[in-house]
Amino acid sequence: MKERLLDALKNCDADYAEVRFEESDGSGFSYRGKELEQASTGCSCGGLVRACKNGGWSTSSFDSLDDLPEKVHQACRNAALVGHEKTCLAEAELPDDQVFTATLKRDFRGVSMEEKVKQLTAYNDILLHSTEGVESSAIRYTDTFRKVYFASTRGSYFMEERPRVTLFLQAFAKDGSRIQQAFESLSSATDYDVVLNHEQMAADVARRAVDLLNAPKCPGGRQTVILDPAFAGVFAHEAFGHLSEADFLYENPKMRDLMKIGRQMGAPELNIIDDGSLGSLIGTHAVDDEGTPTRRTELIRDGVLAGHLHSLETAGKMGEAPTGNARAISAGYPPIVRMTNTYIDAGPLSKEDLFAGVDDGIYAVSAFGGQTMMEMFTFSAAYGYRIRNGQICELLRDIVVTGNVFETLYSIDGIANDLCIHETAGGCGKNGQFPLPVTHGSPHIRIRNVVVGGEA
Amino acid sequence: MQANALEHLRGPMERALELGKANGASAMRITAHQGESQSIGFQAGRLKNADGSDGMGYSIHVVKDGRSGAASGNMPDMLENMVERALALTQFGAVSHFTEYPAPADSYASPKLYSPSVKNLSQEKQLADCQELVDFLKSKEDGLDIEAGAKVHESQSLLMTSGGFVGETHSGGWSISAGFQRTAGTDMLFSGAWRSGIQLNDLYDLDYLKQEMAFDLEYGSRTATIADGAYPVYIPPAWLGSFLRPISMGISGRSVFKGTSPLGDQLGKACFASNLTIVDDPHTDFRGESSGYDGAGIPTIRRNLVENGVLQHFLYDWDTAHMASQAPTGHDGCAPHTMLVKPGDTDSRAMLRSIDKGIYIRQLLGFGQGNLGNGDFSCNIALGYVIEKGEVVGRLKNAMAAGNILELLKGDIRFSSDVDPQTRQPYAILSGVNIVSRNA
Ligand SMILES: [Zn+2]
Repeated sequence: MKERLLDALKNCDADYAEVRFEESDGSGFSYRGKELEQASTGCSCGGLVRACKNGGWSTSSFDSLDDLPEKVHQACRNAALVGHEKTCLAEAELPDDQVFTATLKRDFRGVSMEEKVKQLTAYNDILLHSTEGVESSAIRYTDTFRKVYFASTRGSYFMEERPRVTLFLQAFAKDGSRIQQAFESLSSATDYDVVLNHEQMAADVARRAVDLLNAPKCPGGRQTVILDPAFAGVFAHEAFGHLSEADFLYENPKMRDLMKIGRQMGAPELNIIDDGSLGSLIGTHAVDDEGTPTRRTELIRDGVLAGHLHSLETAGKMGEAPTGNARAISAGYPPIVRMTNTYIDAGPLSKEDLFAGVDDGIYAVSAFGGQTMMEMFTFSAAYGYRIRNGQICELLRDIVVTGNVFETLYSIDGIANDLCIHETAGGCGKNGQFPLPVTHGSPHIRIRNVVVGGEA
Repeated sequence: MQANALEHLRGPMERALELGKANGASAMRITAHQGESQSIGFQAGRLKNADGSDGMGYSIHVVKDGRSGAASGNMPDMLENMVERALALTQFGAVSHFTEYPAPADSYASPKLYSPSVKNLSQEKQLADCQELVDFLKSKEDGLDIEAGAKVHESQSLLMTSGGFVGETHSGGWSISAGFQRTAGTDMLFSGAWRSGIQLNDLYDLDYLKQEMAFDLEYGSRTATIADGAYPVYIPPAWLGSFLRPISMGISGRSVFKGTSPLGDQLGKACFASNLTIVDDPHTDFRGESSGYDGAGIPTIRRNLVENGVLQHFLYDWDTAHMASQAPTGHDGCAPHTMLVKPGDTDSRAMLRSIDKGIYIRQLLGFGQGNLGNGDFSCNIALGYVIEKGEVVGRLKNAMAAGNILELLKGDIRFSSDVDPQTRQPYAILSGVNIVSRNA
């Protein structure tokens, strides 16, 4: 493969070009209610040539390697038609013939379909029957094994195996026309067995769906909110992380000024980090999709803006070091600046201290979803509780918070010491590329004066 | 693209159907798809990229001994292997509620999904048109971060069932878009507009794109506030479809049968305001959502889903129809083809002028993040304006809109007489939407 990819790039007259090719194989099962609704499998291959000439870019996708020479030619020709400036890409320490094979504690490819289905059936029974009032359930299990090959005109080459298994459990409860749902999800890049032994989690999901039926809606207005680590992690990713992605900044002087290194962003206890080299999480890789080694990047250090996330181009144009954050959801897409494992670092307070400071507020737990538009963000908790006099009180539903990230980061007035990083079944979406495996993490954090949606 | 790019798969697909049958499949379906596209993109006000994509794929669905299996791939020589993998999956029990696909119907509508007129859209013209949009924005204001893009695409698909149905489609089209980001301190304004179509006709309208963005440039520079409370909101055609999603989710026959639809017991009942009529129209030419048949070869029908506030139909694909003992309605995934709202009798501008105090929603952030199946939404008004005495007075920042759509659609709702040619939807006013803002 190495020779084939490098050969195809030989006659390329672009300033830079790369080929990625991917083989992927996977299976999935889903339950909805009493029935196993889908059993599916898929196997595909394909890739993308990307070329840069005089600052202009072109991509050309293909299914079969037989088409590769023609696609390289096409991409180089189109890039030359587009570009009218000087190509500026950062230099990076590049892999030379590196092979990153996955080491799976227990490989899902060795687990029989029968065993997978049996496990899901057991969870489904718990979702449907452990609590009175559950109307229906949903379970999704997927496993995929991808092999990504990469070569560039800089002479670098790598192959990386990217396995992933995901599990999603959901319960629906119904009372008349009112329907509530609860869910949990998890994911791993290292072990099939992480999907096992979640009987208690399934029972909790069922119980919560039923409890939410009678839970009042979260009151709207400006509130003090404590975010649990799962929800705060989504906040770090959505509200701040996307703003650190240098492709939003590098050609926009006003944005560069706004996100200038050294800008005070919050209290001195606040540290936010992106680390694509952390352990072997689903957001972790040895190198990114341009072949740049991943690393730990401090985005906020002691409350001060300390770094940006880069591709080769954004790093080159901003004169900063590449960070290994150019990622693509699959080989059919171009790498763009993305997060990896993003988290708010542990702070000085205990979780108890955090709650003790709240007379009346909201405890928002686990993220349902989130979206961001640069400085504006909005996301919803899966569920939450009212806090009164520092105590966690009644269950609440429909908790949605929104705000301006600069104001909100300043409004964080307490960070606990219980950092926890979550690997969930979802992923990050950007420029039509969804879902990219990422993780987010945080300790419990407390924010004052947050806008919460609902009836005022 | 070749006139019959999938012709080489016809023989292999027929043989794959035979293979399935010989191995005990009582029902089997194969779909294949071939598509290509070319696009250009402007970033930071200048041409930045030109991309081409080209790919194929197929998917297989088999039923054996009352159980189903599915497989997908994109390597033609793996087709038979993938049939075997799908058959192997049937042992593990995904339930199929049908055992055979139906024989083809006598006739099908055949809406046109391709127009050769798109060939007249050269890359040179797309470059010039994107440049025109960029130059327009540059002339309006310095310091905007400007993007634009254009795309043409073409695809073919082939569907074969073991019932003997063969469906072929040839589709294609174009799109053009532009947008900007205005940054002032930590305040940002995003606006953009797009148009897309199959035929190269009046929809391809640069002036429309310019007007839309000029509106936000003008009104977005002033801010306004509004006290927290319940207000009428003025919803543009592009967002009306989102507000109908609780209905499209609720009329899924599968959700109804599985008990997760809040509309499950509402069939034939007046569950919405009497001026709400929603049409499912799969037959209009040159509309991407049009199709004469569904994935089982069931003919599609144009029908009213909601008529004068009364819920008319639940939707059933072939499998769900068998599960729920209902007639199939020609809806893959039990989802409607369109949800077109019947226009009202007041012009959209007059409707806006009738609002004493309310919000004009231009863009929402996080709309689907709530319990939308239940009708609940709660989201950020990414771009919205305060309306006072019928006039847009300024941009509302840091605000959230919330409510229950199924309830709101029972109340005072109004639709404009004019319909947007892109979405075929009118403007709407929903009354009593909760607005909470930080700056009130
Ligand atoms: Zn994201």
